[in-house]
Amino acid sequence: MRMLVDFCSGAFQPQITSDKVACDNYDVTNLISLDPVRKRQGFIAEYFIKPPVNVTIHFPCNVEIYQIVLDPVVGRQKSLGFGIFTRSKKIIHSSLFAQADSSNQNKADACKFGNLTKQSDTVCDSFFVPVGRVMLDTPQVVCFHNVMYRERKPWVPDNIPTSHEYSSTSELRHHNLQSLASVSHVTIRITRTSSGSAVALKSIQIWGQPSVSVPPDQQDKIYSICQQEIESKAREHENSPSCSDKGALSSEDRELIDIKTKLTENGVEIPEDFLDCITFDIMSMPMLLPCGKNIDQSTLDKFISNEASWGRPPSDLFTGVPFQSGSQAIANTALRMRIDKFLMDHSEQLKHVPRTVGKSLKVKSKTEYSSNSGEASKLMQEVCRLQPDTFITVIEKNMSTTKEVRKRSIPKEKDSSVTQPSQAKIIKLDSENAISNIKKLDAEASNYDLTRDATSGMVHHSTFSHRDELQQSLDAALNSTLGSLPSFTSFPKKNVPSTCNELREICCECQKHLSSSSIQYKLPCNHIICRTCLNDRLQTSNFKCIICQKLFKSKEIQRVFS
Amino acid sequence: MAATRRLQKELSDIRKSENNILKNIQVDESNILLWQGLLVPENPPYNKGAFKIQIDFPAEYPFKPPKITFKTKIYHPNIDEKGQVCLPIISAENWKPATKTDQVLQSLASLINDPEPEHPLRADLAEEFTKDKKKFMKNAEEFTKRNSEKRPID
Repeated sequence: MRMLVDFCSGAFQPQITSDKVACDNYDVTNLISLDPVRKRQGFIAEYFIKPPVNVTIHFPCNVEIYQIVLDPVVGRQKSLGFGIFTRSKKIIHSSLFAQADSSNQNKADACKFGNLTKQSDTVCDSFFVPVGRVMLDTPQVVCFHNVMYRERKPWVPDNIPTSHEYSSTSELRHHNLQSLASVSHVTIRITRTSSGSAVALKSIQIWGQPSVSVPPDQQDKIYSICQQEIESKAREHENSPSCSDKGALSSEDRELIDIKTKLTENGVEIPEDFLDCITFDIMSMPMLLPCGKNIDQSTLDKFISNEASWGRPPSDLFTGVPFQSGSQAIANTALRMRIDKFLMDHSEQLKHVPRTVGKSLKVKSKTEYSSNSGEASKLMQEVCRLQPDTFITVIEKNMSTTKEVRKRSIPKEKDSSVTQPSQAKIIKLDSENAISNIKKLDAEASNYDLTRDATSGMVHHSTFSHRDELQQSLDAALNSTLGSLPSFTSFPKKNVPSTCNELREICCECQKHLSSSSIQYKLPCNHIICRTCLNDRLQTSNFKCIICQKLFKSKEIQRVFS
Repeated sequence: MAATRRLQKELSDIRKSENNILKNIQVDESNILLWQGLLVPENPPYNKGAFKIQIDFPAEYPFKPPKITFKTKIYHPNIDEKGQVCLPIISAENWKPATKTDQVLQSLASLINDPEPEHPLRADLAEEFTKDKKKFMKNAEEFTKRNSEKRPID
């Protein structure tokens, strides 16, 4: 049992030509390319080419056609009318069987193949005969089925969909049996395109079996190539579903990809759009020029000042056209947001890159305060950096209290941090000292744990370990210290009680718990309302908060992302 | 330094491109601002030899233009005895930051292949070039044979 073969596959080294010029990158050879990237491109003739366009395929051996499947849509370019022509010339020599290793055909062989076929032309089989045509109403995949196909063992057409499975079908027939049973060339004539479209063809599949005249050893060879192709495809699919590495052209493509992906920084691949077109640095303030390119504001400023030194007005770096009121550099905020997001996501690796955002992330971490003591000390360092003076008192006090009675440590610390902000200014220690203090504190804490273990009789009112307690006290101290500072990140503080995280998830109107995925809004009074309730309110134009009865305007409502 | 990344990119682009004008580009690892390479003109009388050139990029590159000097002596109206070239594209006044080194080299190659006697650096050669082209060609060819470097084999 053998499956039918797609003779348009590059593995069989068919030759494909077109009588009209193709668009760049949409060459007709794409249709038989082994490189999946090229194969996906398809064929598009130059925009000024009008139908008919002939695409001719030379087979390496005579073929009995079972069906031809055409996909006429490449992007927005659509072809509608097709005619199929075949030529039945006996192929005696072909490069596919001349070579021991068929997988790498070179150009010379291709030429030889072409010449040989030409030489052996005779009058009777040098005509192309029409075997089928179709006019489509809607551009879609069309299947031409050979009604005269005779199944011949061992080739069985059970590996491909039958023509009934295609929504659009047509028939192939001709009074001369040879013109479908022993085909050497197939011409697909694209006779019509959808209005305004260029002539296009996404893919061709020509399924069939080697014709009766093909010697058995060549048939075997075809079958083995077919098998190899299936295997290699399966392997590729396992290894990398997106990229194959067959043929010289694909390696070229890969090189191109290499160049593109080479723009890395500390192991992070940087998208090309994020780079300044002049300096190739990551932009922090992208400016969009009238020519469509983005450059960093610093680059533009330098250029403008340079130009000014020659007495020239500011202009587009690339076109040299002076800026006017209608056309000048504008801040590309959309791109800036993308860059900021990218830098935030890779903040570890891209620390050194200048950026416009980032600090708020660290301050926010105080609410996500975790129970890990390592993180706690990290956080403390961070806070020390932010507010060295005030915080040091907390630590100082903390140290003294740990030495004394532990029961009183929590309230005392709270007191100290709240009531002694003036003392904080007096004690001048730099943040490095503070960090060393923290380390001492940690060491002491563990000491204390040991002594407590030793004097097991000592009663303690809480079940928390010292470490936990220490963290809690630090947390409290932190909150009270930072709470008095002006905050630029708007945490709902006054109206929403300290358990704001919980309240946040409850709609103030329907009292339902809101999951993180639901859409929630914040009123100017900091109450959270769910989308459905807000919609009801807006429809009845009742702009009043249900809890505090405060009036609000629709523009004051903010969406909240949890 | 702003110049580094741009130069790295340009260098890799030039090295990758197929028809590069400058052969055997040598760049010191520690100083990417200094390039050296061999220019291989296509037109007679210079097509028998190769000419070593040096490109100095200022630290402010790409906001300031690079400087090109010939390290090999050349019999050319637009290049003086010290190897200085008068290339409008890299003059301080005309320089555009968007200009790539590749474009500069192309412009240099076309200047070497087709001398411009209208604004020469060596008036004597320019005069010879305009008045007695045959003599100029002969002299230049001899000079090239005597002084130029070997052309690299592709």
